[in-house]
Amino acid sequence: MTVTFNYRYSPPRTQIKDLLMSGIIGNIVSVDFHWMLDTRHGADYFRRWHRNKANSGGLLVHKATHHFDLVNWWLSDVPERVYAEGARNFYRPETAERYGFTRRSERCLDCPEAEKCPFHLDLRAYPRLAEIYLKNEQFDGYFRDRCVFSGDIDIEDTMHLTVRYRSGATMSYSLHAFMPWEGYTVTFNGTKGRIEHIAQETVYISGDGTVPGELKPEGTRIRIFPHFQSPYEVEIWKAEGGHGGADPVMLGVLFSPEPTPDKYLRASDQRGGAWSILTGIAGNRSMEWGRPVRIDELVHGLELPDYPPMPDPHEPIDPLPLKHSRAARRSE
Amino acid sequence: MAKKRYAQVGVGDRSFMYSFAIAEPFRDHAELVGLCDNNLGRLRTRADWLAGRDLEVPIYLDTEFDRMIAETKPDVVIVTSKDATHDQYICRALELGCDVITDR
Repeated sequence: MTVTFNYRYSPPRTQIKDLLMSGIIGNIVSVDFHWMLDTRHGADYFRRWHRNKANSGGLLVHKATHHFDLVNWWLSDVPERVYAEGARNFYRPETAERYGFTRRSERCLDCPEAEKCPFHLDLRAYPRLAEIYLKNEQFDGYFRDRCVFSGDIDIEDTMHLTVRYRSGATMSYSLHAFMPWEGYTVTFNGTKGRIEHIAQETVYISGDGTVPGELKPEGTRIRIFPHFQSPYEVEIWKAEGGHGGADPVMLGVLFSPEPTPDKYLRASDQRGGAWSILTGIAGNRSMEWGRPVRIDELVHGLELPDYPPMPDPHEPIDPLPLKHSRAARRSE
Repeated sequence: MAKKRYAQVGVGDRSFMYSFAIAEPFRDHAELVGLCDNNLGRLRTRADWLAGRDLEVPIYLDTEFDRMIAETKPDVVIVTSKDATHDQYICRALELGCDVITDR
């Protein structure tokens, strides 16, 4: 079975894996990962079926499973314990009241506040959305444009997690769904230095005809900070197409008769899928139970995914790399 | 080499990328043999789009999933339905001897 973790195939995210595998910052001991969904794309989850946990598991499951898969794969590791806090701070009736929207409807199509509301979505203005959803409401009663401020919503828009991995590495993670820009920052702290990566994505509404989650080249950066040496920026591997340039590469792997071997082992099966979703499920339980949750409280005997080997945490480290490289140059 | 046979369950917006990949760039290797969804209108919309590419693909309601597998004999089932329904389709498809690709 194949689980389509398209995010892994995005060239800059593969480049991060390549850098971490190279050992340039040693073995990874911690990760700071913060994902921003903006007021267009983020809001869209609160209009659709995703707005209820029974359908989507909330954003920690539906959306963040991609992020947690990236971390599992980047670190070649699996989560052991999760603590989460979360709340719905923005997409709720009180916010509509603060905006002064007193006559709002439960959907955009007939909403008297449409002209004033920055979240108004006119399905009729998007041919593809009208074709797929508006035209077919009679068959299943599904509305694609429900009010983002509805009291029926029961998923969080603000989430923070602390995760401990099997290797002992830890992660601090956050997800916000009402931010002014969309993308993420991720930092890896290793025994030989630090990598900082920021990626700004374009904004989109699912199905509006644009390419979803395309990376903005000018907003994507990778900086390396080795211990005791000057930091430097590396050139970003080129990304074109949906979800950070991942979709075209992944479709080639899925549907080509003979996929090429991949040293990053990006193709995922049910094991990678299960381990990625467990961080979010444990996060949901943690919010519910008000305490850290161990993965082995939820599931036992799950096989480990196939991940590439990572730098050895016991290998000797050169304490004076700069001095030694200068000396090497002098003796040439 | 015989084309690989794909059936797809869930034809909302996210599913289009897969239908498109099979119908256009990978059509020499892949074939869409069945479509399944809980919304008859959306099924017709996707079938019409495929018909525009000379591809006749039969449609099935979600209650007819098993019948789709029996009649169209796919090698692989692509699951792009609402998340909460993924597990039932994945497990049933595997039980019926198909491989599965699931959107996550």
